[in-house]
Amino acid sequence: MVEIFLPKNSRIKPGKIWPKPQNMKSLMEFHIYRWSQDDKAYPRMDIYFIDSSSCGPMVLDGLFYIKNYIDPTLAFRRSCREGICGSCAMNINGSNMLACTRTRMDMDQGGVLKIYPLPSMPVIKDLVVNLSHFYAQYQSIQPWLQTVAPLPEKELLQTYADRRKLDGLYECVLCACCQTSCPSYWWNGDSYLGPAVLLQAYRWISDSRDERTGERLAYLEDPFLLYRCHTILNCTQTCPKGLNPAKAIAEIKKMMILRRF
Amino acid sequence: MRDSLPVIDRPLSPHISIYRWQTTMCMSIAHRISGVALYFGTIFLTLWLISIAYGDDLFYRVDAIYRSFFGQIILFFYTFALVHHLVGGVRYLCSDVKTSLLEKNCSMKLSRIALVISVVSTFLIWMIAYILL
Repeated sequence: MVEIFLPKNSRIKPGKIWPKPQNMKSLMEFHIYRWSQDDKAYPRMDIYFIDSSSCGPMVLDGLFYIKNYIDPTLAFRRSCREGICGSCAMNINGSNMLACTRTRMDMDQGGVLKIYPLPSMPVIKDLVVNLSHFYAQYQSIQPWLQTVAPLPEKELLQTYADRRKLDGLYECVLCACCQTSCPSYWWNGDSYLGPAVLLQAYRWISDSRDERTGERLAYLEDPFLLYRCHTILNCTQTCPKGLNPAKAIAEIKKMMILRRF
Repeated sequence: MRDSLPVIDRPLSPHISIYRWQTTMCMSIAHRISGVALYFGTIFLTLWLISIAYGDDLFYRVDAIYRSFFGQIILFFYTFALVHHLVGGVRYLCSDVKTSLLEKNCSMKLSRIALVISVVSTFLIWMIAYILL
């Protein structure tokens, strides 16, 4: 169901304005979503000021500046700092992206950055959300190679053309940017698989070595699992790796029709 | 993880209130809204047709309401909803058949074109109607 308003415990209140560091050269304002179970309070927006000239250029560097020099209690996920682990996915100035692959200058809107956790997810702390349901959905599409015929002595080979079909699919890092950008997923997330999971479903459907294409399609043939995609296309607009989940879903829908004949 | 909150008691991170509006997202929502508007518009159309079947007296009364300034405004938006929904439907049909239309820039352009087409053709329909009637 469409739910425009947040539940009562999730409404955001204004938060603390943290003091500016001394001797600032170029000032930048970070508005960050804060919530901790220990506070026993509503989520709030804290305002931090960082000195852009004394840390690296990325949004993630700014978050580190805050954690190192201003407020060590700020929680966010990060690991590789080069867009391959997908940990630092968050909503920055209204769009989901990886904090490590965007420069602050790119995102600058009058010197202010507004940072929220990934939309419509249960918050664990600050910018860290619970992705267990997303991972369970990913598991449900059985994301591994399955064969029926006995395996050959050596590896399963692919032609160049068959391998090329996986380009634009295998690069997904499961950061959940697209998944949580989808209004359909916000409101039907419990039953709809969502763009990231369906992109992965299509990655295994279109793999020439996989022999359970029929079963995979049969599993997805469901009014909720697949057909809650209404080509809103937020997923394609937001993907930090430049992939196109909407197109993959459209391809699955096409295969659904073709398998009836 | 002792004493930690179950998932259901945790706050939900904000979604539609903070997400930046995208052209394609607006067009999808407008498609839904125009679809709902068409239900109401069809009721008005049916009332008009029923009044014809009932005879002169009722028809002239209903027709007078529809011809009033307020009635015309509603009819104008009904036309817009109809054209918008039709153009949007054709756009979705095309992108379902030819999935390369869903590429990032292409889909953005297409939804803008669809919006222009629906606005222009709504005005055209009304201009033609005024010239003919």
